[in-house]
Amino acid sequence: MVKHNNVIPNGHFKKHWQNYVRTWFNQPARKTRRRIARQKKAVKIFPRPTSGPLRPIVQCQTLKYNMKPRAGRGFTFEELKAAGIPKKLAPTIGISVDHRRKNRSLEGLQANVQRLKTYKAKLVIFPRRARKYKAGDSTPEELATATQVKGDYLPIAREKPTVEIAKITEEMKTFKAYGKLRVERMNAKQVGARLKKAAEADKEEKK
Amino acid sequence: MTTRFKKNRKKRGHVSAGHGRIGKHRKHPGGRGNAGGMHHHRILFDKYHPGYFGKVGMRYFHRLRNKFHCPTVNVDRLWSLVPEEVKAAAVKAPAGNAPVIDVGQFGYFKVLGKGALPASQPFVVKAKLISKNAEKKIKANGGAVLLTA
Repeated sequence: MVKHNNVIPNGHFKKHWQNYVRTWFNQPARKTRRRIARQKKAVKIFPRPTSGPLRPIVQCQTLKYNMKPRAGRGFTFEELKAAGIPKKLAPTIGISVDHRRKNRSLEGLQANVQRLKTYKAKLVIFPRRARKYKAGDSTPEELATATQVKGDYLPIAREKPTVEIAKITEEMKTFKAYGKLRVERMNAKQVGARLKKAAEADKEEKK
Repeated sequence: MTTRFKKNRKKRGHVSAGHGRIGKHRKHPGGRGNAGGMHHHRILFDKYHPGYFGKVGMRYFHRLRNKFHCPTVNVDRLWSLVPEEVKAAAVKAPAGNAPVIDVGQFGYFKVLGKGALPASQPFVVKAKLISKNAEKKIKANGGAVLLTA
């Protein structure tokens, strides 16, 4: 029974409540477990970079996120070709490839080609078997100085917003932004009604 | 508390031990939990928890959140978006020149009209949407408003 001016109880902890309560007692152990796993992986894939293959820069979708760049799945064939990397070779030297993605803009294509080129310039390739050099492998001096790349490399950064100084023209001053917005909204709203009106007017003329 | 010191010790041997013959000490005479909010506990619910029962508002099926995404910035925050070096350059710039702030680059869609602008420092604002008051304030300061897609 409820009594006095208290909060109405709304906790529903009757049916298997222990299944619905989230505890975080495993968090510290999970942290160390993950840390050890990461270290193990780094040793296992040595001397490859720890953060996986190189990913392209792509633009986020939809109105909400389209001002932000992010990492994509893989480079397109077009980008690989422009950078001069055979598409069969690419996944073997730590470049991810996506056969479905398309290049829709020139800027995007160029940015990713540039990314591939800088990657290629910095890339050190170890021979599959030591002492058995093949074409395309790096020189022994380079191999000796090469270190495993830890963490992110070639990070994807968002462009800093720029504010430039420009002249305020008379045209800019007289432009009524709010009025324009209202007019455009009305235009969009009235599309149907105006079409109907025009059609009716057409009919009248024909009669 | 030890049983020895409990008040009930003194009531032993008396029929209802202080809980009454008529009312009786039963388990849940008013119902368990929140029982009777609409019925026998109505007075209490209405008195202390007005608005507990019922719904508010209209239903909206298939509400896509992107459609309503419109981060806003107020007029008084605009000047602080400008980087320091541009601010310094703007002060020195010849009359008639002003920094152009593209609010969209900072992640805002709409400019609203709260607060005051820095006096005698006009600037041009580029935004997708703008309110009536915001435009009025920017214009009164000698600036201008441009619309972007």
